[in-house]
Amino acid sequence: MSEINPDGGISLRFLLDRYSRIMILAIIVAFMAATKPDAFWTMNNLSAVAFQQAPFMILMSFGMTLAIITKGIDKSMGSVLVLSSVIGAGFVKNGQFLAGIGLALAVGVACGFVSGILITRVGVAPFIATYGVEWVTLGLAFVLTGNVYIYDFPQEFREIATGRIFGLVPNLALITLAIFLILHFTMGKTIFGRKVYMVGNNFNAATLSGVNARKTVTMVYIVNGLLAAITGILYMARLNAADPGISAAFTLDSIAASLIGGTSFGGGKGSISGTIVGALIIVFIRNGMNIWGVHTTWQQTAVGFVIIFSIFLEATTQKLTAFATRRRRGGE
Amino acid sequence: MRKWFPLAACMALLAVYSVSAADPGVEGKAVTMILKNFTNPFFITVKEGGEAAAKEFGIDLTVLAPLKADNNEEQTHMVEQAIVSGADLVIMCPSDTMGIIPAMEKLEEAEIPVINLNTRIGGDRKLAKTFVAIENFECGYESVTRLAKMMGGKGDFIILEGVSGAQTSIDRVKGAHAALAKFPDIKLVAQQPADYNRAKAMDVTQNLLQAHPNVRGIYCCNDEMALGAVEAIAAANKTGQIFVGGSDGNADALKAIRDGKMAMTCHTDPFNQGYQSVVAAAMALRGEELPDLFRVNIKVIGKEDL
Repeated sequence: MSEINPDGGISLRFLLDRYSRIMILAIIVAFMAATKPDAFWTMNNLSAVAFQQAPFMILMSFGMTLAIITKGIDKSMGSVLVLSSVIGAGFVKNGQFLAGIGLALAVGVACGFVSGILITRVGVAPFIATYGVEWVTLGLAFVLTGNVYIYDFPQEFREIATGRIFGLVPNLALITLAIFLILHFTMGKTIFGRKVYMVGNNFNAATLSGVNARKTVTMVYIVNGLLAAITGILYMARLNAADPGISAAFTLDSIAASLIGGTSFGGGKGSISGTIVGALIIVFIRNGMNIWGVHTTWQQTAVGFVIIFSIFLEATTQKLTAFATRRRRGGE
Repeated sequence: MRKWFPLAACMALLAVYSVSAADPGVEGKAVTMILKNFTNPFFITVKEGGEAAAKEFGIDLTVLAPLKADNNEEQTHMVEQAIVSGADLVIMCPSDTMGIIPAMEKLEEAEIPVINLNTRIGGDRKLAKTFVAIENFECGYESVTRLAKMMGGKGDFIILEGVSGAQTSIDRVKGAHAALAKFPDIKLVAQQPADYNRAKAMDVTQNLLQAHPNVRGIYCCNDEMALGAVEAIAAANKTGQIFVGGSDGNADALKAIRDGKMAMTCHTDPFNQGYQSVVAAAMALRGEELPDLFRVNIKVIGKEDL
C-alpha cells in the first residue's frame, strides 16, 4: 500500500479511500447483473469487457496517474500513442515485427523525454508542455501517414492482442497484469516510488532533502511515453488498423479513470490499484449502458457524474479526517 | 427512371463544362475548400477530386481541414482566414451545420460566394450558391434494402449512427428506417451512435452483440464504423454470420468486402463530390446561374460488383 497515512492506524479516511471506489464498481456490476442477467452477467461479456476493452484504458491511466501524482498531467499520451503506432505500423505490416515494435517504443520514450525535459529543465508547466507535445506528435502522425490509414496486419502480429496463452488466458490480460505488478511494486516498495510521491507532495522540499526531483519527474514522463507506445501497439493489433482519430478519447478517458480512482490533482496522492478500479468503472458504465440500449451520448454524462461524485468523496473524506484529528487532539 | 435521371443530368452538365473548361474568367482565381477532417480517407479523396478539377480549370485551390477532426471553431477560423487572404470563393463542407452559420454570414458580408459541399449548411436563409452532395436518404435506403435481401428478409438488425446530430447520419438513418419498413420480419434491436469512428464502433458493437446475440445484420453510417464492427464480430468468432454494411466506399472497406468480412458499402463517390464542387465553383465565378442541388450519384457495392 502506497498511501501515506498520517494517523498511523486505520482511519475512516483510509477505509473510505480504499474501498469507496470498489463499492461504486460493485454497485454498477450488481445493478447490471440483476437487471440484465442474460446479456451482462455472462462469462462472455465480462471477459470481453475486462480483458478486451479495459486493458487499453488501464494501461494509459497508469501513466496518467503517475503524472498526476507528481502534480503534473500528461495531455500528450493519446497523441504519443498514435505517433508511435503509425511509425511502427509500416514495419509491422511488412512482417518486421521486432523493428516495428522497437521503433514504436523508442518513439514513446523519446516523446516522454522531451516532455520531461520541457517541464523540469525549461520550466514549462506540465499541462502546457505536454499540450505542445500533443500537437506536434499528432501533426507528425498525420504528415507521416499522408492521411491514409494503415489497415490489415498479419495474423501473427494480431495474436499479441487477440491471442490466448494455452488457449485460456488472454494475452492482453497477462500483459496488463505484468505491467500492473511492476508499477505497483515500483510505487510501493522502491525508493523511486517514494521519490515520486515526495516530489508530488512538495517539489522543493523533496529537492532540499536530497531527491533529484527533476530526474524523477523526467523519468515519470518517460514511463508515460513507454506506456503510451505499448498501448498503441496493442491497440493496433486489436483494431487491425493504425487510426489517428483515437488520440483525444484516450487522453480524456485516462484522466477520468485516474480521478475516479482517487488520484488527487493536488499531487502526492493516488495509487495504481485505484486507477484500475477507476478504469473498470468507466468501461462497465459504457458496456452496461450499451446493453441497456441507452444512447451512447449519455455515457459521457454518466462518467461525468461519477467523476464529480469521486471528487465529492475525496473532499468529504478530507473533512472527516480533519474532524477526527481535531477531536483526538482535543481529547488528549 | 428516378435513378437514372440525375445521372443523365450530371453527364449533360459535364459535357457542357468540358467545352468551357480553362477559360480566362476562371483561371488563376483563388478558391478555398474547407473540409471536415483529414483523418477519414473519405475527405482525402474529396480533396483529390477537387484538386483534379482545379487543375483542369486552372483554379488556384487551397484545401483545408481542422487538425482536431470535425472542429467547428477551427473551420470558422479557416473561413476568416480565407476572407483576409482574399479568396474569390469558398467551398464549404461544414462539420456543424448550425455552428458554421456565423462564418457563412461573414462571407456573405464580404461578398465572397459559397459553394456548399456534402453536408448542408443550416438555417433558413440561402447562404450558398448551390449544394453539391449525394442524397443521403437514398444512400441509407438502398444500402439497407440490399442488406435486408442478403439477410433473407429476416433476423435482428443494428444501426450504428455517426456523430450525434450530424445531418449526413440523420438522413442515412431515415433512409435505413424507410427500407426496414418493407421487411416486417427484420427487427431493429438497437441503434447507437459510434461517432463515425472505427475504434468506438468496435467497442459499441462488442457490447451490443452481448445484449443481442442473434443479430444478423448491421448497418453503419460510414465505412470506418463498419470496419470497427467487423473487428468486433471477428473477436466474437462470428465472421461470416453477420452482414455488415457501410457507406463511402473507401479502400479498406472494399478490401474487407473482397475478403468476405463486410457485405456491402455504398459508394458515395467522394472524388466526384470534390470534383463537382470545383465545377460548381467555376460556374459561380463565371457568374452563371446554378441549380439548387448538384447531385452526385451513389452506387451500392457488394462482393459481386468488385
